[in-house]
Amino acid sequence: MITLTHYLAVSSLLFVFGMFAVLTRRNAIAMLMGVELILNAANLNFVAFSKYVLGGVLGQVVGLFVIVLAAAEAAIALAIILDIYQELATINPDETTELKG
Amino acid sequence: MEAVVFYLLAGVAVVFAGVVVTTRNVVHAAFALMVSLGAVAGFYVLLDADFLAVIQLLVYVGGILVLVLFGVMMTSGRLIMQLRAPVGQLLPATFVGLILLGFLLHVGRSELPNNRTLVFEDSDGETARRVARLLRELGAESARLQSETARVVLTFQGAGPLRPEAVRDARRAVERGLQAARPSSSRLYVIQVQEVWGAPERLQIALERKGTPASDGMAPLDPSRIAEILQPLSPREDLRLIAVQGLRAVRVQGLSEAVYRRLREDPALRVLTPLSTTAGLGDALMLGEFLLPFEVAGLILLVALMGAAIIARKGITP
Amino acid sequence: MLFRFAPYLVFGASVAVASVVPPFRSSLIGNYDLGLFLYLAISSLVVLGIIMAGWASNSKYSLFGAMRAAAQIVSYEIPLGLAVLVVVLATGTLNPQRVVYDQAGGVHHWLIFRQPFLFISAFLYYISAIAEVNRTPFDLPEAESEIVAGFHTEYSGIRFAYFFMAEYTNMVIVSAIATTLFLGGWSGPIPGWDLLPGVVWFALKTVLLVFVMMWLRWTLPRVRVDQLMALCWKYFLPIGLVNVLGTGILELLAQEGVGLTIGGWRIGPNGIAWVVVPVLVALLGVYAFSGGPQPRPAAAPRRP
Repeated sequence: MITLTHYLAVSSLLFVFGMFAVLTRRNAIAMLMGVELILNAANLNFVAFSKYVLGGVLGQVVGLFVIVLAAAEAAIALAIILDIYQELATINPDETTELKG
Repeated sequence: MEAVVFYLLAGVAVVFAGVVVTTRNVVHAAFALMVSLGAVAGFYVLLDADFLAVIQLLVYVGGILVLVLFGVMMTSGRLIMQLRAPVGQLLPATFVGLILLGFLLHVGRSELPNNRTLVFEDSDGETARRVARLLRELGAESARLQSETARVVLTFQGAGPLRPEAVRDARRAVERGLQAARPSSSRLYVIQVQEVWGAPERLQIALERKGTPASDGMAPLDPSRIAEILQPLSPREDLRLIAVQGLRAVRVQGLSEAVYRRLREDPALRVLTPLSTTAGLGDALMLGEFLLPFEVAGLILLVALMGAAIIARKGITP
Repeated sequence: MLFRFAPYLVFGASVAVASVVPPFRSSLIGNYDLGLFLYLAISSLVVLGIIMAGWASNSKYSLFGAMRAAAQIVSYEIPLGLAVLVVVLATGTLNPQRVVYDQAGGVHHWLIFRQPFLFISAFLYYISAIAEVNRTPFDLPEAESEIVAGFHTEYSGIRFAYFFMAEYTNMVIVSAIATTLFLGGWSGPIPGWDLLPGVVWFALKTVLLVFVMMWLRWTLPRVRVDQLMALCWKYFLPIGLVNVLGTGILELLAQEGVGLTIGGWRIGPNGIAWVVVPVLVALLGVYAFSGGPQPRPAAAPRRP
């Protein structure tokens, strides 16, 4: 019998992996992938809570918004990354220090 | 069965998420992310969110990942690149990750408030009595029992085996009949046509309210009222409405986790699954309380994409 | 490893689409409430397989072919989706089997003949689908005169065969979906005449559409990349949006009960649209071919 706790465990693991990627990666696109993992973990929680606790479609609606905004976020982030690459020829966040005072 | 599928999906999702984090090759990371996100779509199916699962495939796997791959290929001279951080950064990250994981797992195990809900089929009233007895035995007096009509099934009878156009006309007639009775009321119901196995001259149309009665405060389904609305209409000369039956159900609210599991596993009780959650979702987004957020999200998306197009164009930034 | 896996992903995604096509009445295949949406989702997985193949081949022609394929498929997904959306608006369901039931009872009930916007959508769908499955005249990803064989240059043996099986499976399935959406699926063209079983009608229509695809392949030359993208973004996308808008308006009018009664014959919004829209399209065509707004004469090039 699968319960809410099982889903929460999976989403915790996904969240931690995503956070780990954001913390350790030296490549902006790989960090973006970490962000996607984090968003998915949160989304999984929303839908699981929606089924097991609240009932109805509220969690699914929130999940839908998250997916839509994740799409917008990815498009903008990649556009910025491409721009940075054209300017500085690197996408390592440690080296993009143009604004450093 | 559900457990097997769950553990399979969980294994795939977690292992490939691990690959995303540890591999040295960005393209491999992107494809591992594809598998991981696909597994999350599988979870959505398990959680009765079919629509969200398909959206996940369409937007994440078919859209965002293609974008990411394009980004990878446009920004990397060498495709294999140094991804790992120095040990001085890796160790604190692992430390923080483990603490966070422990914390999240601890929170996930904690007791939830007693507000699980279950709906059982209850054709003869026997189920309601059985559920009430079980609740008394388990000491769950705080749970609320409510008997209601969850679904109305209309049965049509034709002269001979039904032609496909008769099926279509019956569905349209029901939609129009409901709509004529109260404008926009046909949108309140999920309408599903079912052919009856072994009786080709019969046709059943099931009606179900979109959303839960508790959430929108509207009147529950009333079979006699629906029969009254639909009785005078005959979709075709060779098709008559012969029966309008309400499917009784008992809704149990305010259950604790243990009681919920006990009730779900009882072999004598049949859980009523809704005809479609997609219709409810569309209803909430297009007609219900989420219309404004939906529009705002759409606007943000539009502005964001225009901004992305402008940023990515060469020669606009100085 | 990705090199070995890619053909199976492409082929698997192509075949999985078949699960949304109902081949006959009371078929459980295709009787699924999210079918049309699932079709759009699964068909977008093919792109990933192609990029995977192109990248893992480690050859410049493969990578070029994969990039072209990805750009083309992602672009043409949009008019394709809009064409499907028009059908969903007109029938009020995402279930392919319900869409076919909605078209039962003779050729005049088929969606392609229901109203002019659906008529346009049918062609929009078919052309976008040809581009989506990379057939000539849109076979730029495998243009042998430019990039050897595109994303499958480096493949041979059974994996190459899987790519080709995927292409031909895709042709058949895309035609089958066009049949389901616009040509009445398994329902016969003459009302009340059940000489042939539904599955035969379905197969006949599908094979006809596949034949037209092959016919186009041997007739038309390959288009250029800029022509391909211009066709999608400058023509198909606006036409698709107008179709969605028009169908929405017609459905709304039908719901409000608007119509004309001439000599005992009642004409609904769809009938009126059959008169009005072709006239508008003809006017637009005359305007466009008469030169449209005259462009200002270009300034004479100045000599340095």
